[in-house]
Amino acid sequence: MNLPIFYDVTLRDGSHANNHSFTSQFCSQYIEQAYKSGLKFIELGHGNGLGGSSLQIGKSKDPYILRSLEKYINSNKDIKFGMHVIPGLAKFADIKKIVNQGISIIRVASHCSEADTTETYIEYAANCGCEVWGLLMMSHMIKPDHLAKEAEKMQSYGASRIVFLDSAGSLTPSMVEKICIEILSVIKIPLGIHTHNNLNAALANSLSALSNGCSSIDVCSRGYGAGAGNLSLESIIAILEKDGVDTGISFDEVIKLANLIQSYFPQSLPQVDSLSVSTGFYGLFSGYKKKIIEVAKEYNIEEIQLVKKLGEIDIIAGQEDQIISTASELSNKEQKS
Amino acid sequence: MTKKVAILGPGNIGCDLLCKCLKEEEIEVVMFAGRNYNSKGLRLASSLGVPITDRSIDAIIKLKNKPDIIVDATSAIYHKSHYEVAKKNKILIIDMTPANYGISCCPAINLTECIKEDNINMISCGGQSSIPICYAIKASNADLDYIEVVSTISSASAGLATRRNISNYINTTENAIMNLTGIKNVKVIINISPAIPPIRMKTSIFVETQQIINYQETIANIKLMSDKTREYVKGLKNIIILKSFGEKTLSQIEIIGSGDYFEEYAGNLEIINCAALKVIKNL
Repeated sequence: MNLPIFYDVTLRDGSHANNHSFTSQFCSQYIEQAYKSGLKFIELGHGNGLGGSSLQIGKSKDPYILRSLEKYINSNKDIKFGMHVIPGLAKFADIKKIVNQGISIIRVASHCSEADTTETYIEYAANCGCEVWGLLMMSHMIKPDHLAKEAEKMQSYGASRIVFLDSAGSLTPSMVEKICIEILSVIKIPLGIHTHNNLNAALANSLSALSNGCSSIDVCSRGYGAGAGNLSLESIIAILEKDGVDTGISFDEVIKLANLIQSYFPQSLPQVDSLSVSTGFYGLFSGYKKKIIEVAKEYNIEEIQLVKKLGEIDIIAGQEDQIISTASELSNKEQKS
Repeated sequence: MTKKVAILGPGNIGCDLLCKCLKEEEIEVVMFAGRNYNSKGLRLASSLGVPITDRSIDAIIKLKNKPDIIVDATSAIYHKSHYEVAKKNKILIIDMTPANYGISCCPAINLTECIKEDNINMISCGGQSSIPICYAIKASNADLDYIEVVSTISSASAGLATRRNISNYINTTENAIMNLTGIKNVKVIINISPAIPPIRMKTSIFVETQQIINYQETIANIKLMSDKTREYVKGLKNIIILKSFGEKTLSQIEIIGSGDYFEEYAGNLEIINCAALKVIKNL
């Protein structure tokens, strides 16, 4: 196994856990400690990435956070800063702005079957001089050979790496193996994985990805991310180091990073509770957990009933308003019966 | 008087509009233009007995049966050059792409003003579905300064140009909402859902709850503007007129297609084409 890239998404995915309320003061402290740990890649931004701050998904408490961090980003030349960009939420002008602020990796993401929506965005970001990765979200929703075709499209648009995201925490290690084999049989660029822990499988899935040819894994300190959380950075470093891999990352220092998260956000640390396992099993986007609780309460329906119905209608990421329409339908039906 | 229309661009929008125009007695489609005789759109038009060409706008301007109107249903990057050709030949153009070039037109709001222009932009499906409601909310709450529009369309109805033009779609729709409603800050989001069976086009309009000062009047106004829009888009259905969830309040609609070209889920094609048809009839 070659040494993988550890791509830290704590300051982005973790926004889902704390309702997009990271402060620039916390982020700068985190970045400083991440640097001491030996991390080279850090993602910033709203939980749904660039342009995600909205009433639909959740407003960022500090919309100008990047501006406050600008000096910090540009003085840390050993760390590359990235952002998640979903066509449909972000515009070209937004990309230009963050590139000027020092973001050098643009991760252009689409729902797994809609890679052709990324074409013009990948081209635009590449023309801005960025390193551009292509991300396939909710990758449990289509078959591995279909996923491989979508990855191939992103490669043809100019992506330099593909990452498949288990956005719902719905994959198993054997599914991950099949996906890696299929995608790597058609692309010439490197592959990475992003996991969620709904089925307690983030670690197993990431290990499966590494042993099946993936060369980057997304990590979060203390697993701090949407829903049940993500792959915990300190766990994967511990396991790889024990297995004799020199990760280039200091275990003692990432423990300090995890402590930082624990001390700042004791109320929102992710856990694999019954609702998280259910959304993972029925394949719903991890970021929906809080919305499901809120909306089920508002319409006085059972959370599990709502989860199952949303799974049946193949809801994808970004459809928070559909949770409301579906709950409204379910509650109307109940009142009639 | 019969209106002579040439449709440029044989994609999903062009095909659906063609089917709609053929149902109208007062409209004659003088040409359906594309670039490839083997395209699905040109074959459809040919089977319906409409003159076709693979030489795009060049063939349209040479027609003996000169059109009064060219409908540009190509892609945003081509619109400017199509407009210049149309202008030179004194033909009015209706732009279905999000090129953000001609006057933004939402028939329920500014039809009379638009029909005086030679380049009329139909904004986008998200724009056509949301603007009457944004307008209604603003009219009842003068200080409203932020609105958000989230549209979801089915993957099956989203053609290649739509997928390549997402950034333009957002820019054009945001600008049109600002200009036609006077709301200062507008955010537009578009989702493409691959769900099977395909989902109907849906638009949700969000505002901050604290900015809704006149709740009952807002509801009455939303109903009024929805009815006005339904005069030319029969498939518009209010799912949620107005409902507050803590800090946010939303209004939600669905557009049911008439099934002219696609199935009823393709409300996105339906609403922009019904709006264009309304303009054509009033020219």
